[in-house]
Amino acid sequence: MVKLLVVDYQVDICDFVKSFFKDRGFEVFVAHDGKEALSVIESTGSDIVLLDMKMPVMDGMTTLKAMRTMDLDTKVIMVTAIEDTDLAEEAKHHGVVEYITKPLLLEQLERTVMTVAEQIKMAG
Amino acid sequence: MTADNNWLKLQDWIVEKVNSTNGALIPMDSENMVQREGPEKDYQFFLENASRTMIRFKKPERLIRMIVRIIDEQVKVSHTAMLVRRKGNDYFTLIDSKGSEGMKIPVGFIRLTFENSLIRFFNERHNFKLSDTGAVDYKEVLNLIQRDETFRKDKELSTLASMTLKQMELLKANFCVPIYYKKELIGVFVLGKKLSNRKFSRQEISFFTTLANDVAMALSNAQLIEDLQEKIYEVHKLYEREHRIFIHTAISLAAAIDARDPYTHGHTERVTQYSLAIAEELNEIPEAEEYGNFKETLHISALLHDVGKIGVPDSILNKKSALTKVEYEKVKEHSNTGAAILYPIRELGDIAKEVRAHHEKYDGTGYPDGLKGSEIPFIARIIAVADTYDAITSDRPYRQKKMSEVAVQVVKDNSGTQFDPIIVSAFLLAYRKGKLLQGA
Repeated sequence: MVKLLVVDYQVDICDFVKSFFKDRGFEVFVAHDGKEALSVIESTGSDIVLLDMKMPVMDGMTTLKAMRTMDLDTKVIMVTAIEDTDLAEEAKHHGVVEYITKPLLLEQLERTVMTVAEQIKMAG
Repeated sequence: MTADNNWLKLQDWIVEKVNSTNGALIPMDSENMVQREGPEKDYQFFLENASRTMIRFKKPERLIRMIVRIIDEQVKVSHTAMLVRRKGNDYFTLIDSKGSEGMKIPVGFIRLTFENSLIRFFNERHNFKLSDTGAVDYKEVLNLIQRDETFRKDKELSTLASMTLKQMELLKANFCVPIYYKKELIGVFVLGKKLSNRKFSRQEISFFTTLANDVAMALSNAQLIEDLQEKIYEVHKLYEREHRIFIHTAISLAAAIDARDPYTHGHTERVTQYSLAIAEELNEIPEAEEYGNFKETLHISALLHDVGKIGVPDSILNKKSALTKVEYEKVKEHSNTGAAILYPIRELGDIAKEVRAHHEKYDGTGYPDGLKGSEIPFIARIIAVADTYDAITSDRPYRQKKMSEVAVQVVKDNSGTQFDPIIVSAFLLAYRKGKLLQGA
């Protein structure tokens, strides 16, 4: 099973997305800030991360940069309420697979995650 | 807020009604333990009151949250939500959602565009093919797709219906009640399963659809109010800007006129300041209240009181020696000249009157018309005092304090003759409060 980590400050979003992707055959973990996220990635070896931008302790961008420094090859999909094209560009620069803004199209989220999951499965 | 109180009372009423009927929206006939048809009268009453109350809500979000909460509490479903399309958006978002964990769709997380099957289904009104109320029950639609021959024959429709069902699964919606306003889809109530696992009764469905229509009215009403408030705000901003332009123009004009005579530099500015300070002490005087907008009229009259000086030649204005009688008469003309300049401007008609009379004297020995006592417009009487005070105090700027004491004495001495005694009292009050210092 592909391991998915959902990182969002809002607990209800984590719960909903977890439930959503559990139904689609993923093993899902949750975290509510960047620091927790990094620790969970390390301990579980998550394949995909859905990363929120606005979080306390450590925000999305900082977490992303940390992941790169730690040389983690986890696939990152940024999911955030900010419609900031500069931020999106910066995120892409740090290697995010996709940048999705809230309120999001559920089909788009599903498609993106599924596509990435397929690629991971194919890579073996 | 009265609207909130009414709504709370309504809510209490519903709670009471529902509790007394064992949680069913239709009261049980306790003798026969059989569900009665009515009382439709109670339902009607509730709905009539509901719509009247709802229409008073100014903030749509509060209204929607309240309704969702009521439905959730009373109808005992696994979860309740409402998809709403805000004006200006081409997508629907959830305004509120309550329910057991895991089934809760987070607010603001997802959006549904018009390409979404569920939205299309309702927007294109296919739901009315399946139900006369427009409300759609998951199981019924599934049944129809699987069993109904005529329905299955229409490929497009059955595909759309299947996709719609998928969307309902996604939203964990067992029941959807669309909300239309003027034929346009503006929202959808999304309800989960009834905790009792029973179907929604005809009564409950009718209740929801009526509620939905009321919500549509109230929402668009609230939107109208919001739009109106925005318009009012814009108009007000425009007015403020126009007004500022006018005042600044008047100030510039007055300053330009004052600048011609080195002795009067800043005169208008100071007279305006003093006049307003004196007016502060005249708040309850009936003569002040006779003006529509006393402070405003006073402000502008003071700003423009010497505008007539534009008609006085430089040679006279800047003459170092004493003026001849003829020259003096020319200077005195500035009162009527000023009025003549302003009079053709309809909106400044009242101000023209004040400008004309600012050199009149209380005992009738002033000019140009020799008006006496209350014949002199009230504001002109105020400007007269301020004008004199400035004339004396700005004469020797390096002896301002001494000159102000002199000026006060002069004003006092001329109370009743040159000046209106009531205004002199106000002037003295303002002076003692330190409001007549230059730049105060």
